[in-house]
Amino acid sequence: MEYLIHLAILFSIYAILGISLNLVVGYTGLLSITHAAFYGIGAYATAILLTQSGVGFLLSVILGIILAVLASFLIGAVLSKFDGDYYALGSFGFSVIVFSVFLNWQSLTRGPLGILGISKPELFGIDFSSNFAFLILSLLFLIAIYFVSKFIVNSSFGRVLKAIREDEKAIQVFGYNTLYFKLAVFVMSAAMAAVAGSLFASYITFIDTSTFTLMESIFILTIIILGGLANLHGSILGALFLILLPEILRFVGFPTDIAVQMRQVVYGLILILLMLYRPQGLIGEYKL
Amino acid sequence: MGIIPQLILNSIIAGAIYSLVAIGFSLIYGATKFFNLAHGVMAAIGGYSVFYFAKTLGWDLWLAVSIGMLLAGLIGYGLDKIIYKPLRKRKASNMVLLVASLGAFTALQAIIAILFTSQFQTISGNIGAQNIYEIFGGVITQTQLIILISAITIMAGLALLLKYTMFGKAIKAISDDEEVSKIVGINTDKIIGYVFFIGSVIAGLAGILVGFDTGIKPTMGLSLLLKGVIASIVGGIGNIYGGVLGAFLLGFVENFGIWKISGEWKDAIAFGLLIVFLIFRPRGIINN
Amino acid sequence: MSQTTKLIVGVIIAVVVVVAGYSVIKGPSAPEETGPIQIGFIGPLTGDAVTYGEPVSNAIKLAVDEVNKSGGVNGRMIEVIYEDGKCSGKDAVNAAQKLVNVDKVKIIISLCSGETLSILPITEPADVLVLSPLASSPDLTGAGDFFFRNNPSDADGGKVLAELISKKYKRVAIISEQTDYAQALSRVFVKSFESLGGEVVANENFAPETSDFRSMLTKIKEENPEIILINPQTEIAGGTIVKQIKELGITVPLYGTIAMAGSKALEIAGTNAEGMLLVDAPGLSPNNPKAVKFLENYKAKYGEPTLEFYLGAAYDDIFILAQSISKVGTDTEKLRDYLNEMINYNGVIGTYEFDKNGDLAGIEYVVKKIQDGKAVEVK
Repeated sequence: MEYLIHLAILFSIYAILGISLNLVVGYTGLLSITHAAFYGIGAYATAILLTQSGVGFLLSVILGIILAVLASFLIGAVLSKFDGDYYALGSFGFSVIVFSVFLNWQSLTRGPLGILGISKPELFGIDFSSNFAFLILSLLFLIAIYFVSKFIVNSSFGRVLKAIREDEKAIQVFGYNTLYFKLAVFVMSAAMAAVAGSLFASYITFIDTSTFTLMESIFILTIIILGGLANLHGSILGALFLILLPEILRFVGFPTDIAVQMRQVVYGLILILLMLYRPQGLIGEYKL
Repeated sequence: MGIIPQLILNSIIAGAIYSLVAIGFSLIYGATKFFNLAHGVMAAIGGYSVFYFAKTLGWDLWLAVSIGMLLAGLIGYGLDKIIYKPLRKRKASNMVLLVASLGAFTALQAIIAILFTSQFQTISGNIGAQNIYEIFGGVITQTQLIILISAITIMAGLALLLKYTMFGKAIKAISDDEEVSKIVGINTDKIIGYVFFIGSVIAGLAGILVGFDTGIKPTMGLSLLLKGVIASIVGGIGNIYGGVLGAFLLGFVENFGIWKISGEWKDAIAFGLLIVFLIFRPRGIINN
Repeated sequence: MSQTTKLIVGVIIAVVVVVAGYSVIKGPSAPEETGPIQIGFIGPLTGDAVTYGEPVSNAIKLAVDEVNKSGGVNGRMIEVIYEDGKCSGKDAVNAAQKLVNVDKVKIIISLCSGETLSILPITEPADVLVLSPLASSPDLTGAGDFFFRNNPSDADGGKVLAELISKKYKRVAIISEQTDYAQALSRVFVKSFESLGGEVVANENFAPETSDFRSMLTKIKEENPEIILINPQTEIAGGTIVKQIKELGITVPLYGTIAMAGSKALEIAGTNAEGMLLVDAPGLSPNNPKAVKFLENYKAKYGEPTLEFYLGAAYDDIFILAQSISKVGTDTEKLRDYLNEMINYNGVIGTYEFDKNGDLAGIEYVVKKIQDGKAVEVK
């Protein structure tokens, strides 16, 4: 039972990551491979504040969001000038750069040593150290972010995003400053990813750079492509599936030393097969 | 003088390796207009084939090298036939091809790790007994000299091929406009298949040479690929001279960057270069 | 049914299958005092650090086989559940969650410092005993009530290196990998060395997976250090650095840290490593009959042993556990008290005990020299 709660918590964190990335990739059509960077910023913000100062969890989440907003503003401003493949490559590059910062700015992040002893949140006098309580907390965040995202995509702002995805030049003709919209959604998605990061840091109580690599960004991308682009339920589904997949594979009984690689083979095959036969994913509305 | 000659040599050697990867990558991009991320794995395939045939089975080294290059080429060709061609027929967008290639990359890399374990291996037999040459105040080993010579030979050979043969002209035609090429009667699918083969063979060679110089591991493809991508874009995508130029520029920036800044920021510096070019000169040094 | 409903049903079925599968495979939990004694293992079974993880897990298998062959502990067999921690905090936490919450083990052997540090917040509240034959981070000293390790802390290794080197040299260069172990050691070394009056003229760091060290080494060469201290975490990096140092024509004496004694590192470095001095956990003494027998058995089953100290320490861990359990049973509070009070344990790695922080006491780092491709102890 405890283990299921553990899986459920991971699921909610990845669902948040999936939903937020979907806003950029699925709804706006921008192939961003740098999401792990903002996930990391949120995680490190919470980790550093919770271990070095008396700042509480919620405040650290807010600060994490602010930092992610700042970083994504700068990165997004540069990225929004590109489109298509160049956007993807540029975001690739930023992912590596931010990772290098995490690794090398040791006085702040302790680099590869990681930060340990991150406390579980304590909000409004309630202590969230039991896993079950933490699950409730993360589900609450997930629900909040889901509704915020739903609001965004159904609003007129959301319609502009979809228009950018379909034909950016056309909507520019109508006088829309697409740069502003692309930047805005990028920043919003980064803020949400930071929340996921804060949750992650507080749950695992130890973070190091190995979680925020390029591969992680690719993993999150796989979640939303599998679940379906431009469909929030799809991201949730995708997260569920990819969290359960290693557990299902465990039953197939690969010897432990190749289990990890087999998983990667499966991820790779999933991507290939999806692209070949079902580019809209399980329940998506948009084919890449 | 002191340190500069050695740094220059280091830069040239690094540049030579990167250029081998960039040439293949650029060639493929020129013909197909998408970023084949699976290109990196071809290097690993080359390196591991030599490891298997020469070290494990004990076959003649030159035979193993030839097999390695051939195998890389065949697998690259195979990827095109099985995955990319059907997608191209369906007029799939570049992003779909990119994601599919990402899937292929992940899966192939993991398969290599399963077959050969993810441990690092060496493939040269002459450890510690290499010939060292002194040039202008810096040192270079025999293997590195071979790398340099191979790179130059391949570049020259390919340049001649592209400029003076019908095949080369066909490739140029396809790069300029695939549709028109078809109309004129060029069998674009066949030519593109050959392009994948050639590009992958060169990448396989790059992997083999890197293997002789330092060693091989399943993830070697990723870092080589990333450098190759940076080199291609910085130099001018779709143009093999550009790829070479970009590769050497990257080599210089990286190594002199290490000198002035610090070794730990090497990757960030490389990607910083990419981003600078994406912002100010996205078409690369050699404008196409 | 609509698309979405079908999918939701499918998902629910998948979840039910997973849950059912766990209960079926786990079976009814073995009653407390009979059935096998389950010990959890968290270590790098994949990834770069597999050069540590695999041999150590082999040593453990050897020990478990021997214990079980001689009748087990109080008639109960030992069973180890292996989980892959990949030497990463995140994966170790996942593994620990499974071991503690699903498999319900009360004893875990964990290898890497990163792994151990991250699982303690889970194991300590659950009174789970954790032993480590490998983790060396100074942060682990006193980190847990139920934590013990029979591997010396880096705090010592770094100091010993500093003392050793400062006796002959004043200007050194150090090149370290950016990983937890190497960075911790680097910090301790630099601090100790400078406090002894020495100067670190170059301090280069490289990211894991780097294979081209030439420009960093060129930079170091420029600073004219008297010696270079090579501080990698992965053996591959270490071996490659030595090779490239010689290729660049750098001839100063070389010093190394523990990873440099590994067979992979020495294989890659080849003859270039001759004469290198390093500080390592002591080799298994040929005067110790237990050690000799252990090495023989290991060699017969798994081939030439490498990093013997860790293998011996892991082997010892199983026997220490067997001894403790046979004396006080499986209650971990009693086991903890027993281990705290245990003195003069005669193991494969020597005679030792655990100090009040759970650290190793009684065995110190020694100086070794590379001769004929092997690390040989120097007096």
